[in-house]
Amino acid sequence: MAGHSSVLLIGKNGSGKTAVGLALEVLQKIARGTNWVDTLVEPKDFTRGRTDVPMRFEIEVELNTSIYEYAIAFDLPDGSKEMRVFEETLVIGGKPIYTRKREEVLAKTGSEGEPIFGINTNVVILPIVLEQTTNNPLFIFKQWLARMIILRPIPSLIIGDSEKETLEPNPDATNFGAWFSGLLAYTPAAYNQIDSYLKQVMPDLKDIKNPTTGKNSRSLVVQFSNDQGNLSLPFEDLSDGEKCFMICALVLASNDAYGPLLCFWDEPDNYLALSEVGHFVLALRKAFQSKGQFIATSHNHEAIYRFPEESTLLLYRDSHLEHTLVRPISQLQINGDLLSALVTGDLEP
Amino acid sequence: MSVNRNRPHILVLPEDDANSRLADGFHFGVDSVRQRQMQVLPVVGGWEAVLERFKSYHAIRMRRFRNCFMVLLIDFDN
Repeated sequence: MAGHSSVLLIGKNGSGKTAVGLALEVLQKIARGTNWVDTLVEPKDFTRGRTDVPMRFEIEVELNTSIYEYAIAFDLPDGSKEMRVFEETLVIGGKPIYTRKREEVLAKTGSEGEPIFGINTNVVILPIVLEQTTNNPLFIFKQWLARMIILRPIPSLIIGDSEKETLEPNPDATNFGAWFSGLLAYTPAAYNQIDSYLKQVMPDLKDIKNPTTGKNSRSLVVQFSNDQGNLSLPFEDLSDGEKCFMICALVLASNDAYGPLLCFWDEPDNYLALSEVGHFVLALRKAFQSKGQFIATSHNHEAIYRFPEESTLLLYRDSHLEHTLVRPISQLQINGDLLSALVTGDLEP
Repeated sequence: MSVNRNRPHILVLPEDDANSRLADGFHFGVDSVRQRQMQVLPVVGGWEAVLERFKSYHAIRMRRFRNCFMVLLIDFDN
């Protein structure tokens, strides 16, 4: 996915598109402070129950011209029901910050081959390493990983209430109100971008208010206005598609305000009218063109056609017993048009 | 709201995937504030199908919505 500001994952049901987001979510949870292994992964997560092979997660990202590489592997000791850390490494700009093999940790300042300290194998190191300044590369990486936006929204559960502020939305976007409050507290000017995008999509939008409803709580209210009058709606009364427009507006404004961000949106076309899908996807791709990366999955031809072929990856496997193969569709031989190949299920690597 | 039918807008009707990609690339380059004034329609499969779809549907629509402009994207490569 390197070198592409936006990437689309396509493939049949069960090919592994959503699993990419779930894997990113494990890394995100680590960066957000979850350090107990059994709250990150479970023995049932091993591929086909193969507990003899470590489960490995790796990410490589370029931030401020430095390459950050983080890898963590988990295994399940014989006879145990609790998983543990098998390996964990962090490399920044080609220099190892720490390397860990089970309980033994080698830090970059340690003499070669000598473990600096030992650590419980049920604990991940990354969340507990203390950064001294906000310029510290470790801080930059952890913050970037924690602020990834991974979305599988469930609009009916989003009610727009909040009791705190955050810049870290959860996958189902049920903390939308807190995200809205956090973004505007961080960059009040972000409202202009939110307003500008939403007024293109909903021309009768007047404004969004976030009044206090208690000592520590707020609730979003959306106001519409035209020649016929005004209408004020609690956020929860918006339609599912309208809530997705709101989420999109926050994604665009967030990447601008505190990006570069990685946004993984699982089927962003869900809940949208067919006439909106193309515009919606194009707005997201455009916003991430200058910084950050947007990754989407889709089965919708209106979304699929809005991505260039070289940025569209086909995920494919013949059966549940095989590994997923990944190919850019620009490298596939497609007889006829892409839409027909998708409809007939003939798209294969 | 998709393209605003009562304001100037362009619909592109591509013959095939290659032409659709061309139009999508152009659309991606359009300034964000004007992006919703353009829409690339699904491919119809062949230049004759483009003409047929235009006559049977879009020409009628254009008489109703005077701010609609159409680009028929065909290349006669087969």
